[in-house]
Amino acid sequence: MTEPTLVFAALADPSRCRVLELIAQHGSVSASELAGELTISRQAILKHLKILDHSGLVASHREGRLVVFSVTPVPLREAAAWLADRAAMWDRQLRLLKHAAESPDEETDR
Amino acid sequence: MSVPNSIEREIIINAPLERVWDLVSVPGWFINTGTIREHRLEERGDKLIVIDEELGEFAMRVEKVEPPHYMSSRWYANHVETSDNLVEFHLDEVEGGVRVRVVESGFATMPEDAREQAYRDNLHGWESELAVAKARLEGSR
Repeated sequence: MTEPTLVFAALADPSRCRVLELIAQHGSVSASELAGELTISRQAILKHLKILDHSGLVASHREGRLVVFSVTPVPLREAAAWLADRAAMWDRQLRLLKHAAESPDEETDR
Repeated sequence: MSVPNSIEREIIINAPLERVWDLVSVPGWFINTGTIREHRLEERGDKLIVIDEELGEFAMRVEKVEPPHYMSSRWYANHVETSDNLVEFHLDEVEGGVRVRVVESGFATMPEDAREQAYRDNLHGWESELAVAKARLEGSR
């Protein structure tokens, strides 16, 4: 289980999103292959891969001498569900607010 | 890859603007288990601590207050300045009453290196608070 906030943070950077899209297109891909398709430095790609890996959005494994990366969809779904929960929380609180404001003599101790 | 970085919700309230403002401008009014209730407030350094008898302490800082239309505040998990979501309330007079719009943003704010672990720990705390609130709210219906 990864933290939704790590997912949001990982997706906040446009070039990191591009890296993620490329990995998704390839299915599984090595850093060198990614470097051939991106204009950013290899070092930058490695940094993005590290953050994506840490967020749980991608997983890595060894194939012979290569490390290859692939997308894991679950954290993205979890992050979306977390946002939906948060939105539902605000809906409940706004209903409480409405209730309190529309019934002036109860609900609040002021 | 479309995970948004903010949440926006709104409601129309059939009450005078000033009355809605009085409720909305109370720091942490939305920290509760199903009924809006009063909180003890404590100043600690540059933070304001909202103390809920059941849910515990929440650290925040009021950012901008423009009565009776706008208020924003930042919220910190476990008093550490690592998870600083911005919560904004916009109030507008519309037909049928007052529209209250809440915008919560900042989910993607991330310290990328040394503070990360503290950040993760904080997040656990904040999420479990929410889970408690959610369980109680849904259990009480």
